[in-house]
Amino acid sequence: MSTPPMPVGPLIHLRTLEPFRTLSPAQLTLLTLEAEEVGFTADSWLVRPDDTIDSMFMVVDGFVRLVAGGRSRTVGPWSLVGYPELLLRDSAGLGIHAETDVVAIRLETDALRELCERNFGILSALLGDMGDRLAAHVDRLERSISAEGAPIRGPYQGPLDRVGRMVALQRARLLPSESMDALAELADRVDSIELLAGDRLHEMGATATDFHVVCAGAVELRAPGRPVLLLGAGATPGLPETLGSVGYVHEVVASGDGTVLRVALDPFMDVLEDHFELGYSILGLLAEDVVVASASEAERSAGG
Amino acid sequence: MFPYEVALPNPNPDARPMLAGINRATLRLLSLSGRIRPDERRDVLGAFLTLFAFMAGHALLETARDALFLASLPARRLPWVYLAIAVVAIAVGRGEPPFVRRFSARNELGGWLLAASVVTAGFWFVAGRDGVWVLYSLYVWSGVIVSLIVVRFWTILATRFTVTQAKRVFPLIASGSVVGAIVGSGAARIVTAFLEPRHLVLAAAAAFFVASTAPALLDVGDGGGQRSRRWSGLGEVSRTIWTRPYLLRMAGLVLLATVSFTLIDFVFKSVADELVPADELGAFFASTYLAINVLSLVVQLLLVSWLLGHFGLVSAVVFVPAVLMVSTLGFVVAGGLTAAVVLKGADGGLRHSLYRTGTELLFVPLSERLRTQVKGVIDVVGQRGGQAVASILILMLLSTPAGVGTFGAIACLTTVGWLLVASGLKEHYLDVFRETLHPETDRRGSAFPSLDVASLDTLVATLTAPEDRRVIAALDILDAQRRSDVVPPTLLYHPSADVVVRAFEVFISGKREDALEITPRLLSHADARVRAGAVRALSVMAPDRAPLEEAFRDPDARVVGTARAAFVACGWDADGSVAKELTRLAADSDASVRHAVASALRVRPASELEPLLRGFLADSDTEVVREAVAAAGALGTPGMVEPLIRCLARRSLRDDVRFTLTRFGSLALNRLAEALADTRLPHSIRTQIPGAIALSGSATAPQILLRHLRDEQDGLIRFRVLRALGRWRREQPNFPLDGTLLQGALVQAVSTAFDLMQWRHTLTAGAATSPRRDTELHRVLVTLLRDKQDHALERAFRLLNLQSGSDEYQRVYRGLHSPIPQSRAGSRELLTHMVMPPLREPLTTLLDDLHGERDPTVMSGGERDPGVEYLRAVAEIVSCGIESASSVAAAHATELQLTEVAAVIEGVPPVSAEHAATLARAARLLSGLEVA
Repeated sequence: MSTPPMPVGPLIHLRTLEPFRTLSPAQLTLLTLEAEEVGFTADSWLVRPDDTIDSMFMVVDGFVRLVAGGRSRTVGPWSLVGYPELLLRDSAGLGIHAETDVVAIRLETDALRELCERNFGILSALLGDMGDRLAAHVDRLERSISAEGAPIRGPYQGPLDRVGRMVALQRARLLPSESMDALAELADRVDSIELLAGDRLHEMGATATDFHVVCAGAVELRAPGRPVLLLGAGATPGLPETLGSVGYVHEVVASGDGTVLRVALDPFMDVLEDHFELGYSILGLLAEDVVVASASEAERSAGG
Repeated sequence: MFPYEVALPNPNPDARPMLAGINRATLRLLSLSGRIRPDERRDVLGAFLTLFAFMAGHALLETARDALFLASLPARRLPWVYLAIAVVAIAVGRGEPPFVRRFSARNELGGWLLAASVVTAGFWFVAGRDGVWVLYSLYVWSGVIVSLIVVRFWTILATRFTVTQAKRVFPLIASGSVVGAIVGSGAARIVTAFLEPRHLVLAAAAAFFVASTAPALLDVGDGGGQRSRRWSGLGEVSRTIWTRPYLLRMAGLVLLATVSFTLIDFVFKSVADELVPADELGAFFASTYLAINVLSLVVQLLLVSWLLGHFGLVSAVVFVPAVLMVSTLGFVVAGGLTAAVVLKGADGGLRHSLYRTGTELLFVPLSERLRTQVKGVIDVVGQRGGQAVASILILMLLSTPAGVGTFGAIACLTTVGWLLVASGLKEHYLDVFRETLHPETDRRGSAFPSLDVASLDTLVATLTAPEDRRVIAALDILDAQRRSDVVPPTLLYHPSADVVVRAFEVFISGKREDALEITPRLLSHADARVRAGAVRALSVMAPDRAPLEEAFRDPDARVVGTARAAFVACGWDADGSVAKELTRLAADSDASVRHAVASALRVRPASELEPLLRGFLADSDTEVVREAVAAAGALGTPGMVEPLIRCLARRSLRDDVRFTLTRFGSLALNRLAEALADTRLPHSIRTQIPGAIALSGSATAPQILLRHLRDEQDGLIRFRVLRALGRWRREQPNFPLDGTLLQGALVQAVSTAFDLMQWRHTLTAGAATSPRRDTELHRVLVTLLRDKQDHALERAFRLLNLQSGSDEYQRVYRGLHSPIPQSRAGSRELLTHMVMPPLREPLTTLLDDLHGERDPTVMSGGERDPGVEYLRAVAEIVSCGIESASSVAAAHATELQLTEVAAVIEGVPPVSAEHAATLARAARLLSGLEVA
């Protein structure tokens, strides 16, 4: 059976963008078929600042200005805008304004979600990219949420049998508790570890292959030249690096007695493949962190 | 003591925020049958009151109008009035003042009602004067306002509610119309007993004034200019309607319905005019309309929701013309005042209840833009155009000796036409929902669409792009498309080693011998990866000992390994010494060397090196294994199948492994079938086998998979089998599958989902009555049950897909999970028409439950003791066979000290060792043998 000619231009552009660089040509083709080329005249809004973002745009020609939180910057051809914001639960706040006539490739939220559901490879690539992005900001982000080792959702100090592991997992900040069936399955595939003060969980720089969920106690995140970070129960040290398959950003050491669950990448991804909703929710949660961290970074840069 | 460290229950769960603003009695009324959700109440109340007050006023006005008109003028004049109403309604709708567009939708509606009140009061003022023009004007006015205001009213509501919500709330809102009409006609009956009919006009004006205040309660968006586009470009709107079969049929339906209603009305009034004394007409009409409105209310409250719920919207819409057809036939046969009243009763009883609700619901699935564009035209032109057509028909017949029976016969014929149009609406109605679902792109993962000339030009141009990654992207696409012929050999001179290495792969796969001229020069390239690439290319396209032996002395082990592997593959290693050296080199070197060797074997397989390749397939480095998998596929010897199957445990390689296994044909399929049945095989491998079997494309694959769907004990593997069958089905949509087996699995999935739902509601209700049950484990269990219910439904949809051979159910399932309410509602509506009884009711119940469309208290066990029900539910969950739920339920039983569950726990056959340990611990804790 012959297939119609493919729109090859967008396909090449997509392949050059970070979130999609690891996709196969066939997956890119699927993505391209869902995307459409759109044009905007100069001085018009692609997305108004108060509107919810329901699409991302790959700028092919022209320049757009991104307006968020009182700051703005202009980007040109081959930029991806509206991503990861379109993954957020409340994505209002980013305005995208055409400074010149603009030609862009648009991909809508629903189309992206459906592509991810139909083709786990695409979701997997997006998770990897988001983990990679977050790993670059993880220090700043964890500092803002760690509250000096205080538990995020309450420590879990009971037995870590299957039920205990389920309870502990659903308290983790980056694992959405509404996907309980998936977490129950994940509980079967994690190892519980009793920690003594000084036990090392991650070696800084080593390629991340697993992350931990702190159930009780706290862990220290250490990196040369930076103050030690203390993370309490509910934290997931190493999650961004593991998804991004990059080196651990910190050395992670138990600050005292405690318990953690070790989650290896492969079984974790297996569970996500069977439970799309969990994977897509995690992608959204990571995207929120990336946006918060990027905004914080931009604020810091602006402050000099 | 309870061992699990979980959060304490909420000490005061009954402290719920009070609902302010609307009193409880009103809320209770609006929550009839639990159909109205809290977030809908304000809108429903506003809509109900608006319609109630307006229709009460309209009933008063209608009674006054008919009594005044027929007391002074013969019924033969009525067609002229109908015609005038049609002309004026269309003209007024077409000529809407531009300033109106500045108002919000609800303010516009309120404004129109206020204007109606003022003008109607003016009619009361002039109604006592002589002159038939007042009677004609009053008649026309009453017809025009009902058209314009009712159309605006329902258009506003259609933007507020999804089709699922509309099916719940529209019957209740529409009952406002009927109740209003009853109150209005009742009031008319009382007023006419004491006062002249003309004073009813003033009462109508007062009712319209009251109605004008009610839209303030509506919480609808400000449509502004967009909302008022309905009349812009009548020609364009007409074209839109003409080109869409659904809209065309709807217009036809409204037109034929109106022709029928007008003819029936004329028949009724002609008979009344002839048989009822003029001075009794006011009382006669008031009494008849009151009775009809009561009937309409009964229909609205008892019949509409039932019909919509049990037979669907389209069937409900067909019901009206069917009844009217029988009634008109009855009148034609029997004649007389009684038959005319029965006919009018059928008309009035259904028109403002079932017909109105059904017609408005037919508009809801349209996009807001389309609905705004066409609804006004279809309603006003359809209704008033229908009235005009009927009027002309009546006028023509009046010029002949035809009696009232002839009018009845013609009305019967138009109801037949209406019935036919309504019957043909179903498929088009469903198509509207199909359009709203995100289209399934007809592309398979491995398929790659063909390139046209322009695309090839773009790709070739990209090969000269300054960014390496764009050049590589273009090469990837050309390679996947097998169009290496357009890649110029000069690309091997590219400054980037990454590009050159990729270009070599493209030339090798395309067997591009013209690249050979440049290749030898690259044997001395500065980058070892390029040198290795050159060796690989030469070994395939121009095998020659000399350059390979020269490469043995290369300073980089990757080049040496590549050259030795190529040397052996070319058959020049007679004494096996090079193979031995290569094996030693691979063992002593880092992963990059093993990767290079595996790459060489991928392009030039060597059976002599099969043991080495087997070792690579178990390598710790993923990229080495990836190359080895491809090399194993190229080698194709039976000994490769087993190690390849073991590679399925490595998730990043699975796609490569599955595709490679397909190259081994039935040999791999047989071995995969054995592996799937082998429960000793690691779970991580077994779970991947169904996907590999499906990919084989063999006709025996579905038999193997279906067997496991029936017999497999492991739930995850059953799910993977189901998914694999779906993948296989997409490739072979017409291949017959065992229907009985699929139906059995489907019933099982739905039944499981029902159990999960019932347990969840029982637990929720139990926790609501006793706060001590509302623990963290309770919430974990409730969330788990809900999630599992959703997954059981997903399995049901996958099975429906398998049964049907299409992917439509999958699209519906995705639509049900869309973040967009309209998509969810559209999917649900589509599903109710796609699934036949007996599965339809349970499936929609389960979906409504998950998506908040059903009142959970209905499911929670009714009046039975919540404590006993809670205990029963926990015990049933413990023994349900779902490991996770069973474990949590057992733990929950121990925290609540439900000692009665101990015996149940002891009798449960454990699913796994850990399950056994959890149950045993729970049993010990409950029987006091262990203290945590």
